[in-house]
Amino acid sequence: MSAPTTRTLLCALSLAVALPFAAMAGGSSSFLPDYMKTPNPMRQSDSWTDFLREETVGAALVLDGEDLMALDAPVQAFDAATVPFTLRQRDDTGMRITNLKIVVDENPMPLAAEFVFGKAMGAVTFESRVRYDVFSNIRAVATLEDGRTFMVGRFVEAAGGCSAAVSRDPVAALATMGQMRLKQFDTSAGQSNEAPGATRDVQLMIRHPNFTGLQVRSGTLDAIDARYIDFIEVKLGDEMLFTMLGGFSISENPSFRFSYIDNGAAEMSVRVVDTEGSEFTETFALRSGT
Amino acid sequence: MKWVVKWAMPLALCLGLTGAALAQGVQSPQGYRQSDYDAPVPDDLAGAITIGDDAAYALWRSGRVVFIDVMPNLARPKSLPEDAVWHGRSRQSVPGAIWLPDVGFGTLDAAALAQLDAGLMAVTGGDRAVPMVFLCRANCWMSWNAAKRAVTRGYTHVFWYRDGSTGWTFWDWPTTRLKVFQSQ
Repeated sequence: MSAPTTRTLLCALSLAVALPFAAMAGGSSSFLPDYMKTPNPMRQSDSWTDFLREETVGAALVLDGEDLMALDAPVQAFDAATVPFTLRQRDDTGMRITNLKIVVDENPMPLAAEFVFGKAMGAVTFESRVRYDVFSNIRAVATLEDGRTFMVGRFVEAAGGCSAAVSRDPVAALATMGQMRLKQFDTSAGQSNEAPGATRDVQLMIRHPNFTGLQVRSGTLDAIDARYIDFIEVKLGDEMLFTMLGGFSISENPSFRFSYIDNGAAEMSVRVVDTEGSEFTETFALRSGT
Repeated sequence: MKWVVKWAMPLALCLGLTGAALAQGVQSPQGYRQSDYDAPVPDDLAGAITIGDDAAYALWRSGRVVFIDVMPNLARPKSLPEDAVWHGRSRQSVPGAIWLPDVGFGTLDAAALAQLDAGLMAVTGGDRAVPMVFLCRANCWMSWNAAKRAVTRGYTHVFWYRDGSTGWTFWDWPTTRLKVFQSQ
């Protein structure tokens, strides 16, 4: 074989190898099959077709959401009681997500959380942790301003997280329940502190055991009563940032990392209610506030 | 050759002991297994035919054998708020199987007995010769107990799928999410 021919062949070969990866980096390339976009695409699920679809979206048409947003979740999780997920709306979509449901198909309580987002959320970036009872899809179902519904999902191998041991003594957990912290991350240099309009990145941490009712006390093996956060409201000054209706599939000590668009408000206020009716409130001074 | 002499005795002892331990197996209880259901099971069950993965698959493919899954369900916690949506445990198992989640325990209450009888009636129509396969998962006494109950009730073609869903899913054979059997 002559040298030029070999070179041409090599060129073609490297292109053929490199192209799919280049496309993968682009993310929203919908011509790729699922298994090339992600190592853990969503799998066919009887639970979804049998009853979850009806429960989650009713009769609404569900569109493929890969071009609107990306859901990251691990192929396998280290701890089934805290499986992390991140939802990132692609910046260039120009549409606002008003409602987001996080569903773990095979959990006893599949609807982990339902969020209603205010305008200040901008292009949604949202990160939290969920419990996993058995191997399952996790799906994000988003409704846009115009009423259309989009869905993305991943399959995660993790099991036992709904009945897994409580990480601390249940009595101690109840004593510190409701404590909150807000971590404010430095925004990237150059655009920081130019409120309003800058994008901020924060993490809200709430101490709460989020008991599932499936856990037992170590030693005695008595069941621990279910008690979990079922409502959260976060406000930016007077403006509603987001609300959450939650189930026990959200991990203990719920943590939410998200971004928002600074509206110049000096403080962020959080109201949390659990299934026993206990209410916890906290107000955080915002570093960037005017 | 020296090492052979040196190690022959320990090696022989080692192999011999392992062999003895394996050969002993697990004893079948007189009645039903009453506790510690997740534990090694006997090799067989009197009155029933013990089957492995391939036989179970062949029986399933024949389409003429009833599969009865007796893996327990997750009970809804009493402390859960009334309006909370509860779907129980997602049981992924042999397609077409009926799921009787309460009938594998050592002692059955009236409701569990009713579930067993209604379930068996539903799949056999009262014909004691209908072939049926009982399963839960590997090292699970629930299917052993349930299969023994069927034998005791006079069913003549009872199969005990010893490795259950553990064996089934190992081979990546199809599964579906089972619904708990409801008697009409």
